[in-house]
Amino acid sequence: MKSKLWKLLAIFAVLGLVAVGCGDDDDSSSSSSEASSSEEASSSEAAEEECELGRGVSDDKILFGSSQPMTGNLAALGEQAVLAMEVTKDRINEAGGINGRMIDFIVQDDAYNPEKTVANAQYFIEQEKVFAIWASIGSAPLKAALPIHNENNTLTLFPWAQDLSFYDVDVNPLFFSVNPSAYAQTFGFGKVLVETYGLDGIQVGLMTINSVDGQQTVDGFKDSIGGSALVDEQTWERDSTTYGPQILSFIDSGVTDVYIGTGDTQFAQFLLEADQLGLDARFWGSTGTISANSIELAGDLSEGAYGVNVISSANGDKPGLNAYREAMFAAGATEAQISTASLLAYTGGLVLEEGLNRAGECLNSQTLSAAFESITDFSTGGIMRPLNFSSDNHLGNNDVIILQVQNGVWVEVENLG
Amino acid sequence: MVDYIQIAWQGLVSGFAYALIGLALVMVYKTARILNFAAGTMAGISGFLAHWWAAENDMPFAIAIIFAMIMTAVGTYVIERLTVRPLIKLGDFLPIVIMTLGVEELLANVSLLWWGGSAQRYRVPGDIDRINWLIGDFRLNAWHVVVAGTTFVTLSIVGYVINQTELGLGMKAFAEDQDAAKLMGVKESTVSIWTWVLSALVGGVTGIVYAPVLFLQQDYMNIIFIKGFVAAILGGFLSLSGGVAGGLLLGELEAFTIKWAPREFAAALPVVIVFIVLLIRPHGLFTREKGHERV
Amino acid sequence: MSTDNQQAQTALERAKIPLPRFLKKNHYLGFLGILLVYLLAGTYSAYSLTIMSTIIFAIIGASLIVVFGMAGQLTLGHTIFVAGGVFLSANITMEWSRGLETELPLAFGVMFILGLIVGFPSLRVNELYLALATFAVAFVGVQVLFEWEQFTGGGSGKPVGKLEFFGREFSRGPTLVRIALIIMLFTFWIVGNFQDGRTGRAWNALRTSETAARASGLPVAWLKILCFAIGGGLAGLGGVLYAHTLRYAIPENYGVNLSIIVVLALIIGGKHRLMGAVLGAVYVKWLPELSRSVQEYEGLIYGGTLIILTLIAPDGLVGMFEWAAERIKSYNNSKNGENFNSKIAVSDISPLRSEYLSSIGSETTRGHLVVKNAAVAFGGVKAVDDVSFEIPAGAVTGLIGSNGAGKTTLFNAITGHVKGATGEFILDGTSVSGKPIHVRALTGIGRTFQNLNLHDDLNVLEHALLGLDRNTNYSRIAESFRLPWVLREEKKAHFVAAELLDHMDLLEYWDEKVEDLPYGLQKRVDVVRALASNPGILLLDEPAAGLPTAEALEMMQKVQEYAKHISAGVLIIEHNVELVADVSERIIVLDAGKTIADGTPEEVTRNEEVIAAYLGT
Repeated sequence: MKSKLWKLLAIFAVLGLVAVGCGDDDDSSSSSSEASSSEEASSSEAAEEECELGRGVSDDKILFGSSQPMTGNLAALGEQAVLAMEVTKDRINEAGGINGRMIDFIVQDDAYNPEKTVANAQYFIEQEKVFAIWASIGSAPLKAALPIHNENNTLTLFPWAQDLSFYDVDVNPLFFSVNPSAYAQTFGFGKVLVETYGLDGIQVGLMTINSVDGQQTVDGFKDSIGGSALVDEQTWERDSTTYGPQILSFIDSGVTDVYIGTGDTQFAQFLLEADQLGLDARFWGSTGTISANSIELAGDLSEGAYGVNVISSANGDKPGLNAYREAMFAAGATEAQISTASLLAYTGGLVLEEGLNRAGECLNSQTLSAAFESITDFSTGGIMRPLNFSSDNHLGNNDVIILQVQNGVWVEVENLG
Repeated sequence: MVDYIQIAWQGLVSGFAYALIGLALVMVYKTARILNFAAGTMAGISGFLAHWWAAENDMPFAIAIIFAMIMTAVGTYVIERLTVRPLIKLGDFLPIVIMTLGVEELLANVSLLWWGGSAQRYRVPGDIDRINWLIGDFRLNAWHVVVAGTTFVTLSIVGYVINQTELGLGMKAFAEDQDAAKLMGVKESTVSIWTWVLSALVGGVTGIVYAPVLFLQQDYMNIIFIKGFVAAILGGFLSLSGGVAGGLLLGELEAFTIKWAPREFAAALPVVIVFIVLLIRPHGLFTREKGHERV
Repeated sequence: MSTDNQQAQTALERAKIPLPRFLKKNHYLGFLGILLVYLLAGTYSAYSLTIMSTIIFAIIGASLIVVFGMAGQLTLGHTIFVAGGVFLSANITMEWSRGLETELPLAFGVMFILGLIVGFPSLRVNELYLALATFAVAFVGVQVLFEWEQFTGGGSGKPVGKLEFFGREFSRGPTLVRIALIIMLFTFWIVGNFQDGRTGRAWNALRTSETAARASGLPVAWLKILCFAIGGGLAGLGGVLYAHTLRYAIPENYGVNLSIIVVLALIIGGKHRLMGAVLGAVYVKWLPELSRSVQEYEGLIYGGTLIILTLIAPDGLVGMFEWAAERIKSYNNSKNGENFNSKIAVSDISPLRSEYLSSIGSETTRGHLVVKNAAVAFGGVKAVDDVSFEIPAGAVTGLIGSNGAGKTTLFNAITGHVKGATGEFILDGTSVSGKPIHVRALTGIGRTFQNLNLHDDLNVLEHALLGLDRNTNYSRIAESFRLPWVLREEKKAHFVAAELLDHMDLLEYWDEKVEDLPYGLQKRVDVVRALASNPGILLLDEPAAGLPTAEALEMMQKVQEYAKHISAGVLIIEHNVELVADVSERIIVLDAGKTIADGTPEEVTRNEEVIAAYLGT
């Protein structure tokens, strides 16, 4: 008798489960759509009448979140970015904040693992209720997290991420960046070759990762000068322990210029093996991926290698760069932390400050977005070429600067040898 | 012609690493029926220790290496006693495999906290890793010669220990038949621990000689570990020479597929070959199936 | 307790063996837990991602219970099934614009088939080597994902489309959690049903002793492949949820690391119980969530606990709780002076009269065995040399001979346990020559082993049920959904098993693990398992060895009684000639692989050749 009762109860429980599930689905989907439509309505009204402050914005504070690799192999990059964010925060707050609001941010580690980045995004938005995601590092992690930012009407500001898809304003209307895609960098590289050498006797070899990212690097180059100068494409794998066979192939093809689409240990190892096997060519790469540490690992072998980027050398002598270094050292930065990673985060901070100022009292994702889009001819004191944003361009500038490793640091060069 | 010799040599240089780690894995598997998942991380820590003693404690290069090897041996001894030993008497391989996974996780995090995540250069005296010789059209890197030499010396020492010493005989006896070996009076615990130490030393040597080649980084030996593992599988996991041969074969396969195979397949080809071997000859290329029936 | 009362009760009732039923206590608890999370899902939306990952890991854990916990196949390549589900989901939602109604069945189906393929090498290698091979599979798998750009988007991955079901779109967050819970309920239901049914029993048998499982007539090869297929299919479902949780499918997520973590999670939780899958998932997913402030030590905590748990609690967290619960229970019992087992009085009525046992008696007498020119050679030594004999149906026959005479080898030749045996073996008109072990067993050859070959970790009742497996009539599909006739068949099997145990005086030990029993009782368990399979002929290899003569005789009589009841023949190897002479109608004598005598006990014991070769010494 008793077991029958249990059985009945259980059946009811299951039925209830299903019923509640279906019922709730109706509620949540309809209520969320209502919510978003009412939000739209109110934001358009807000311009005329009352202002609705964004999530994470109070009368005296604006809170940001940042997902960074604080552990693992890329931890150094994360630390550099966070330091530059600290510098930005102190600069703004010491000047009295923006419209009386101090800025603050929370950092969560994702160890460059997309799954953790997604968890962090959810944590920032749902638990910490941040206003926007600022200066996160990594293409793959960001790719995973970006849809969540978008769905929650959350801005993604000045990350260090290079995938081409990020810059599509129709898909990612709330994404703003000063860091171009890998595509744009090799596109710029090709333009440099044409402008400087007129492609006379140039034979280019491309060394990229065997993936879509690598393909974008290749495409950027092809689109800028066509296929004629490209004589050899080689790829490396994540689990490669040697680049010897690829280098031998470059030697066979007689390349004069090699673009190395990678950084860190792989860059150093490539140069080491190129030297071992006698590959005599000019080496190119992105200063975004080839860090001071890569140069140190390679030692003398990296001397004279060329870099392209939209951003100048962190060690250069320009007013903006001097101010950057001064602020960084004041915040306790080491020599090694004066890097492209921290400079990019710092530059993003300059644009962020400008945007926040332009957005005015009524701060939310839409007003700040509009403020960014209104920025034109913004000077960074020589860190980058002047920045221009618009409603269909959320990337400040695509013009590359040429740099070279001289005495172990990147130096901006005007004339190529 | 020189081209092919050059490629073959590059393949060998990678292959030596796979062979040594493969050997270290097979050794422990064969004698104690244990898969040591911590082998790669342990080897990497040896490399870091040698670098740490030399670069941060200003010790001469050779002395630093000796110190690192001693620390590796002692550390392995302690790890075996504390974690593996208590589980051996259960007679089940599974908890031990799990234990080595736990040890791997722990050691990887200790080394990360100690040395950080960024890559470091392991400097060798006279920077001979940057010296290259030209023999006709063939180019030879000085450090690669050291790598090859070390590999041969290590293999010879291991061969001597296994064939000529009491420990080696005990290891062989255990590999043949654990029960019979016990009856013969071979002490299981002694054999097990020295096998572990010997295996860790082989791994440690690998970690150190490859540090200038791959640069020191928290997980720099992980990929070598996985490939050494694949090499051991190619070799059948029960044969020491098979493990070494598997490593060299894998190195050559990688080098020549990049040369010959279309770009899209080059990377996947070695892996595909290994997979096919697994399907057709699950016991590897160099082991007869019979050896496994007894296990 | 009076004798009358006992007569009225079945053995099941007396021993209080719980019968399989549609819903068990565990089910209610499970439902309750899931219902709770279900209803509260909306309240804790901030943690919905962590809750989701926990559910996904619990599902993957449950799928691993099939492969690893039950069937004992240590796989380190389980992620390929998860990854398969993830990328199928990404492709179905993006390329085909279909929803869950396509994703779930397809993920299950495709991963089921992939499981069949991946399971194949498991037939050819031992379990430790399988760990190696599957580790390599995980490594290969992630490479394939990176290279197969059309399907996975290569290194930069592929977005996952909307969460839809028959065109109806759902919001993520709490709704996704609820959908995940329903899928988890489904997965747990299937896995739980297998645990209670014959397939689960067979997997348990396979894990604990492959040789014995073969001899019981279990299709070992199919069982192995099947566990990978079912485990793979269920993990594929987890993959679909994973895809919708992360919304972005990226190959590097599904590498060797994840493979190892899912196995570790299950081991930490406890690999034999669904609760273990849940606890393991909670452990690996909530530890990082709760340790956000000490993130850099997460790995240390993780590795450390794993080491400590492996040392002190090999059965995981669940094992620890169960151990504690048992301690409390036995403490209470000893306080009350009440011992559960002492409640059962050994029955003194003939259980063969019981209606359940009489139902399985056979009309026709079986066990007509013809052995023609049987020969087995090891190297140059002929262990069995051209032996021929015929045993009439229903007879009890003794097989004697000195050590090394080839008796056990002859058994092995008949049952298929030795390779390279020649000659013809015909049981009741069916030739079994050259057939695999389990087919011979199914034809009706039952056997016991000289060296006990029991399943450690399984209890006495389970051994009897394993023997009954071939007489249990329901399909594995019916079993996975716990259909009514599965329960009916299971009940029947339990009745028969209990009566048989009662007959062999093993009833009071029904829930003891066999390794805890004294040797004599273990011998009987072995015999029970063979008898339960309702064999045509039962080959007993020294069933009485090591037993006192009286006990041996009693056991032999019970076996004889039961064999007669099911109309089966018996062939006994025994050194105790008196015992054999007592129970056998006929005796065959082997010496150096040849038959030297064949006749009634009296004839044989008087045969001079026999006396010279065997009895004399």
